[in-house]
Amino acid sequence: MRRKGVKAVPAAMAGGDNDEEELSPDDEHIISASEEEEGSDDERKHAKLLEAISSLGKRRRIKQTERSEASVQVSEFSVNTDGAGEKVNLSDLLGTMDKTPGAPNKTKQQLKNLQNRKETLELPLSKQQTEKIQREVAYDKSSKEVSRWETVITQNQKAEQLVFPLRQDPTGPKRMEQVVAGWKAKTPLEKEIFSLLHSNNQPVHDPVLTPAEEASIKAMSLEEAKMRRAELQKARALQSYYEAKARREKKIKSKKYHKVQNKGKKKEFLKQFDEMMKADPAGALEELKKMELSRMEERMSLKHQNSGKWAKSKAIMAKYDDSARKAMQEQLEMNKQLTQKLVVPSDDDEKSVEEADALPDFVNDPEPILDSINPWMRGMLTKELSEPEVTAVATETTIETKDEVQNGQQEEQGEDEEEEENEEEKLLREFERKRKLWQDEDDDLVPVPQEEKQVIHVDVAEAEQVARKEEVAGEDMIEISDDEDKEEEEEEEVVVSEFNSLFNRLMKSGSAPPVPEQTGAEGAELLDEGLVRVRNMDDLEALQQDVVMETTQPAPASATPAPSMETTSEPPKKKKKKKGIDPNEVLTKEAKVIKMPLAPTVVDEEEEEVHAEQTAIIKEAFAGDDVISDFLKDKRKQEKAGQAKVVDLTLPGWGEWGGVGLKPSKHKRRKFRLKVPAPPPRKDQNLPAVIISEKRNSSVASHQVSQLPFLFQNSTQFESCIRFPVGQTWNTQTAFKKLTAPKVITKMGAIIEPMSKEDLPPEKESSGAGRGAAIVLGETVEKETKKAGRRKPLRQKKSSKQ
Amino acid sequence: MHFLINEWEACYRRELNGKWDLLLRLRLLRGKGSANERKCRKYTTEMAAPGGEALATAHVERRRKGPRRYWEKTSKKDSNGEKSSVEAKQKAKKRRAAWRKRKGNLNGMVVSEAPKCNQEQTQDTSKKDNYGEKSIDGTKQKSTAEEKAAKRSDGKFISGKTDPFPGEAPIPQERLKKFQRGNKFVVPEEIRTKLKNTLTNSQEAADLAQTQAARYDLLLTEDAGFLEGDEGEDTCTISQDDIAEAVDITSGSKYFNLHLTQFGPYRLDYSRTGRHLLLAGRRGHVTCIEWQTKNLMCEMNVMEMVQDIKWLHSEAMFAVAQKKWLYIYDSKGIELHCIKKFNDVLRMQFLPYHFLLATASATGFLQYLDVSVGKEVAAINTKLGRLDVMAQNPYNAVIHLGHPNGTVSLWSPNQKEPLVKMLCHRGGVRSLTVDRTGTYMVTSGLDRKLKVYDIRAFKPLHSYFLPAGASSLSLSQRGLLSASTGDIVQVYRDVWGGGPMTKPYMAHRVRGTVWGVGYCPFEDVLGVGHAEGFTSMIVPGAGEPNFDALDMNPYRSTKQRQEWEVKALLEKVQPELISLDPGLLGTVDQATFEQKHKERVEALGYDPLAAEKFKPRMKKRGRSAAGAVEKRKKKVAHEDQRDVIRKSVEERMEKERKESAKEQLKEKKTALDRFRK
Repeated sequence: MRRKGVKAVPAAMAGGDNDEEELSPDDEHIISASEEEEGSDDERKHAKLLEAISSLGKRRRIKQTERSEASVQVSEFSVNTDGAGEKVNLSDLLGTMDKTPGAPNKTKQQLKNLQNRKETLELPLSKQQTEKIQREVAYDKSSKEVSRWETVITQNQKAEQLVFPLRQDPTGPKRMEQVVAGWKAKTPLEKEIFSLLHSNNQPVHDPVLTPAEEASIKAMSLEEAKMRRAELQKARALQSYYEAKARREKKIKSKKYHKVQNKGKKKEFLKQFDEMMKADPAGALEELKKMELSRMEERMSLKHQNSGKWAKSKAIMAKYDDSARKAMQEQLEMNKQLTQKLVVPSDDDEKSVEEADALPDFVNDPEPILDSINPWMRGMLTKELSEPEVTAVATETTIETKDEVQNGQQEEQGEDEEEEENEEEKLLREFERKRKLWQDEDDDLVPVPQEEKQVIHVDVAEAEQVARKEEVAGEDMIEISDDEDKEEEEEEEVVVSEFNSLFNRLMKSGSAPPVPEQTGAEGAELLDEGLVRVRNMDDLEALQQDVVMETTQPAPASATPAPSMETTSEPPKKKKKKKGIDPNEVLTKEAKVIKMPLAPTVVDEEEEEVHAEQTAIIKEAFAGDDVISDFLKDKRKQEKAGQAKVVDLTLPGWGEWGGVGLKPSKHKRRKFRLKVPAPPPRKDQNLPAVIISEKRNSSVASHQVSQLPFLFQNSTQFESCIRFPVGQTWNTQTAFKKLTAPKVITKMGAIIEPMSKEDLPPEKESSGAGRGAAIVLGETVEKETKKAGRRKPLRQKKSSKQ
Repeated sequence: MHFLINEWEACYRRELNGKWDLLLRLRLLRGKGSANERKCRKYTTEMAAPGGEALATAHVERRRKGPRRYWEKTSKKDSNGEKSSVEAKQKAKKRRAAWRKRKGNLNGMVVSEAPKCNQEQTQDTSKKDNYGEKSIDGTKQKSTAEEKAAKRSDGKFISGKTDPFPGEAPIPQERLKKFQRGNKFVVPEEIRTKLKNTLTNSQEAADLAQTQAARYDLLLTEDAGFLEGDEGEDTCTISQDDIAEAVDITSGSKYFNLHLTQFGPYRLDYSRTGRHLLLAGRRGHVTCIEWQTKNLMCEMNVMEMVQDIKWLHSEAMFAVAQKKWLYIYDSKGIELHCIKKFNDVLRMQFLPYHFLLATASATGFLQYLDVSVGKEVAAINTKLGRLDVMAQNPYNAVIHLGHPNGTVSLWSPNQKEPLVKMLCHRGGVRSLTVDRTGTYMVTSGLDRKLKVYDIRAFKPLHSYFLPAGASSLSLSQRGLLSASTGDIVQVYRDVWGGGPMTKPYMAHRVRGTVWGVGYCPFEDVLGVGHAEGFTSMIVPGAGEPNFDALDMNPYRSTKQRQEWEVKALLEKVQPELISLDPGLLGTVDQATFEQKHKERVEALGYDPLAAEKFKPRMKKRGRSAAGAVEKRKKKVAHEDQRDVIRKSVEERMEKERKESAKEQLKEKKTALDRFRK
C-alpha cells in the first residue's frame, strides 16, 4: 500500500526531489487514503487508454531537430520559429500542480518557494573541494570515535597493575539464568521442585537478590568515584577558565566591542525574562527589583539627560545633522525607558518579607571581630569588643551562615549580570547542582544524635579543662566557670548544635552554595578553639594532653625534674646549653665521679695484673702531654695532605734572560702557577679530637647507580624512589606484595582479546552539549599543562643545576 | 649494608605461616611457670623465656601497650612519679625487688608501671567510660575486624549504627618515625606528569610500608623487666642471691657459677640466639655449653694459650684465636680449619650479616675472613701497634679498635686507612663497646675514665670517672652497660638517656679478676668470665624481650636453623658495602655520574640535562624590538634565585610579624602603667 502511494507521487509531479520520496508516514497515509484501490495492471491500462485517446484528437507533434553540436554555420532550415515568441515559465510547468488534488501541501510549498527564488543556482563545487570537505568530515567523525578511547588508554597506562583479560565477570551471586542458559528441568525431582516453586509463587526467573541487595552490590564502584571526582575537578577548572575569560573580556578597551556585547546581552536578557515570567516568577521578581534599582539610579544621575558634553555638542549639531538629532532622541528615549515605573505585584513582596523573617535575627548582626587589629574587618566601627561568652557559639556559626547568605546573593547578582547563557555556564550550573545533591546525601549520613554525642564527648574532656578555661575566657568559645554551670552549658550546647545543624540544612536547601571556611592564621586559631570533633579515644586523649601541656607551660619551673639523690657537682648551665660535652674539651673536661658500692679487691697473685697496673699508673702520670700533641700533629699532617697544591709550570729562561741569580718575572710566575680549586671543607673541621678520612670509598661505587635512569631529572628524585627497601625481610607481607606487584597479570588460559567498545566507559546522553564543552576544555587543559610543562621544568632544571 | 630488622615482622609472619608450634611451646612453658609465681609473692618476677601464663582476669583491664625500647627516652620525672606511687603501695614491706619481665603475669599486684605506661592508663580509663564493661585488651582487634567486615561503603553498619571511631586507627607519630626510611621527598609541582606519577607512587608505597610496619608493632607483646628497690635502698646493693631466691626457679637457675680455677682467666661468647655459650680459658681450656640446660656440647684443652673465642654465624662452628694461629672448630670440638694466614690474633669480632670474621692481631694487622667462602677479604696493616681492644658497630659493621695512645680508630675492609680516628683518652684505651643501634660508643681508658660518645657525630656525651677504671665493657640489647673493675662487675642503666648517672644499677663481686663480660641476647643474663671460672648473673631488663624469629630465633629447631642459614647466606651483604653510612648504596655515585655526564655532553655537543635558555617569543608591533626583548628576558632572569629570596623574605616577614605581635602583647598598657618607671 505504502509503496504504491509513494510511487504515485513522483508520477504526479514533474520536478519532485528525491528527498520527497522519504515522506513522513502521515503524508503517505493521506495519499494512500485518497488513492483508489485498484490493481497496478488496471492502472497501467487506464493510462495507456488515456494516452491513446489524447493522441487521437491532437495534431502530431513535430519532431524538432536538435542541435547536438556547436558549429558556426547553423542551417536556417533547421531553426524552428514556432515557439519563438513565448518563454516557458516555471509557473506554467507547475501550474498543473495546483489543480492536481493528490499533490501534498508540503511539496507545493516547496515548489512555490523555488518559484520565488530569483538567483540562479550555484555551481557545484569542484571535485577537489568536495573531496576535501568529505575528508574533513570523515576525519572529524573518526577522530571523535577514536578519542573516545583516549581516557581508557591513559587510564591503563597510568594503572599500577593491569589484569588481563580486562573484562572479567563480576564476582558475587549471579542469577540462575545467567549461569545456566537453556537449562530446563528434566529430572522428575527438578520438575517437582519447580512445580512447587511455581505453585507457591516463588521467584523462579526473578532475580535472586532483593532490590536492596542489588543496590548494595551496585554501590558506587571505584571507577564511578573516580569519574565523579574527575567531573568535579573539571568543573573547578572550568570555573577558573570561565572567570579568566570574563576577566579578559572585561579588560578589553574597545567601546564598540562592548556596545555590541551589551546589545546582545540585553536582547538575550529580554528573551530570558519573558521565559522567566512563565517559569520562575520569583526569579523574575528579583529581576524586576533590579530594574527598579537601575531606575532609581537613573533618576538620580544625569547620565542620559542632555547635560553632558556630548549631548550639548549634539544639540548644536542637531539643527543640521539628522543623525545627531536621532542620537539625541535615542538618548532621551533611553532615559524615559529607564525611568519608567514598574508595576510590582504586592503579594510577592510579602513573601519575601516572610523569608527574611525566617532567618534568625543574628544574621544581621555584625560579624564578630576576626582580626582585632584591623579595624576594617569589623562590621561596625565602634562597639564593645566581645559579646557574652555563652552566645559566642551561636555567633560563631552565624559567621559562616551569614557568609553563605552573602555569597549566595552575590552569586545571584553575578549570574544576573552575566545574562549570557552559554554552554560553559550551563555546564557549571549542572555541576553545581550535582555537588549539592551529593552534599545533601552526605548530610543525611550524619544524623543529629551523633552530634550530640560528640558534644558530650567534648564535655568529658572539658571537665578537666575547667581550671584553664577561666584563664583564657577572652577567646574561649565554650566557657565553663563552675561545675554547677556545666550541666546547663551542656544543654545549651546541645540545643545550639541542634539549631546549627537545622540551620545549616535550611541554608543548604536554599540556593546558597557552600562557602569555604575563613582563611588566614587568625581564623585558623579561632577554629582551633572551637568545638573539637573528637573522633576517637586517641583524640580525646590528645585533648587532655593539650590541656595538661598548656597548664604546665606557664609554670615551667615546677615541671623541672627534682634533683636526683646524689647529684652534687652538676652545674645547671650545662643542661641548659646542650647535651653532651663540647668537642673542644674532650680530654680536659672534668669527669663525673661514680661511687661504687663495692671496692675491688687487689689481687696479688697475678703478677701480670700488677705489672699492668703499674704501667698504667706510670702512663697515667705522663699521659696528656704527648698523646694530644701527637694526635694534633697527625691531624695537621692529614689536613696538609688534603690541601690543594699549587703547580708551578714556569720554565726559567724561557722567553727572557736566564741564569744564576735571575728569577722569572712576576708576570710569568703568575701566569704559569696553576692553582687547583680548594677542596670542600673537611668533615672534621669542628671536631678537634677527630680525624675523618676524606678518601672516597670507591668500593661501593661498583654497586651504586651512576647514571640516572630515564625520566629522572636529578639524583634526589631518583634517590627518593629507592630509599626504602622492597624485600620481604623489611616489610610486612601486604606491603611487600604491594611493592612487588607485577605490572601485568594474565589469567592462565584466558583469551586476551583486543579491547572492544563495551570496555569503554558508558557515554552520558543527558548533557550532550556539556560533554562537547568538556572535551574542548580537556584540550585546553592539556594545552595549559603543556605550556606549564614547557616553562616550569626550565626553572626547575636551573635550580637543580645550581 | 645492613638494616635493622624488626621483630614484629617475625612474629607476624610466623603466625601467618602457621607455625604455631613455637607459640604453643611458649604458652606451655608459661603455664608451668605460673605455679611458681603464686608461691613467691614477695618478688614478682619472671625470666625472659618461660614464665607464668597470665591469669585471664589479672590483665584484662590493662591495655596492651607497645613495649618500651631502651632507645626510647625515659624522662626522669616519670620514673620519680612512678616510684612514689609504688612506695605508697608498699610501705609495709621492708624491701622489695620487683622485677618484671612480662606484663601479663603480674597477678594483679603490680609493682610499678613502666614510665611509658602512664599516658596509656589514662587512655584506658577514658575508654572504659565509653565502652562500659567491654574489655579493650583482647577483643579490640577482633572487634575492629568485625566492624570492618560489617561496614558498608557509606560508613554504616547493617544494623544502622554509626561507627563512633570512623576510619583507621591513628598511629602515634613516634612509632611512625621509628619506621621511617630516608627523608620524605616533596614532589615538586612543575615536573613532567609521568615523572610526577612515578614519584608520587613511590612515595605512597613508602608511606604504606611505613604505616603498616608501625601498625604491626602491636604484635610486640612482651615487655622488659627491671629491678626496683624500696625507699632508701639502692638497687646496686641487692645481691644476686637475693634476686635468684626471689624469682621463679627457672629464672633463678640462671644465676650460677662455674668454678674453673685451673685454666683461667676465661673469655666468653654467647651465640646470637642466646642459647649457647663458649668459654675459653687462657691456658687452653675451651668449652661449649648449652647454658640454659647446662648441657655440655664439647670440652677440650687445645694445649696452647687461647686469646679469644667467637661463635661464627651459627652454633655449629666457632673460631678460637690460639697462641699462633686461628683455628675453627665445630660444636663437637672437631678442628675444622687452622688458618695460618691469621697469626697472633688477640681479638675477634664476627659480622653476622656479612659472614665476616674480623681479627686484630698483636702485629697490628686487622684481617677479615669471609667464613662463607673461606677467603681472606682484606688484611690491613694498621701501623698502630698491638691491637687488643676491639668492638664492632652492629649498625654499619665498622670495626672499632682501641689503641694505647688513647685513640679509637674505625675501620672498614675497603680502606687501608682508618675511616675515623678519634682521641678519646689520655692513657691507653682499655675497652670499648658500641650499642646496638650504632648510635653510642662507650670507652674506658687507663686514665680511669668512662666516656660515652655519640658515634654518629663523633662527639662525647658524658664523661665519668671510675675510681678503679673499667677493664672490660659490654652493652646489652636494651642498653645496659656492664663495666668490670678488678673483680667487681657493675651494671649501669640510662648511660646516655637521662642525665649523668651517679651510681651503678647493679654490682656484683666475682671470685677473680674479670677477663671478659658479655650479655646473653634475649635473656636478662650477664656472663662474666674471670680468673676463677665463669659467673652467670641475673640483670633484669638487659635482654630484648621480643625477638625476630626470622632474624634470630632462640627457640629454633635444627630444621629452622638450616633454613635460616640458607636464607642468611642468600641475603649475605658484600664486604664492599661496609662503610660509615650504610645507606650509601641508596645514593647515586656522584663522582661517576658527573664524569659520565661530562662525557655525554662532549659526545652530544650539548648538555641534555641543562636548563633551557629562555627564548622570548616573537611578537608583533614593535614589541620584539631589542629593548623590549631584553626587558622580557629580565623578567624571567634568576627565577630560581628569586624563589629562594622570596621565601626567605617571607620567612623574615613572618618572624617580624610574630615579634611585633608579641611586643604588642607586652606593650598592652594598663592605667597603672603610667606610674611605672
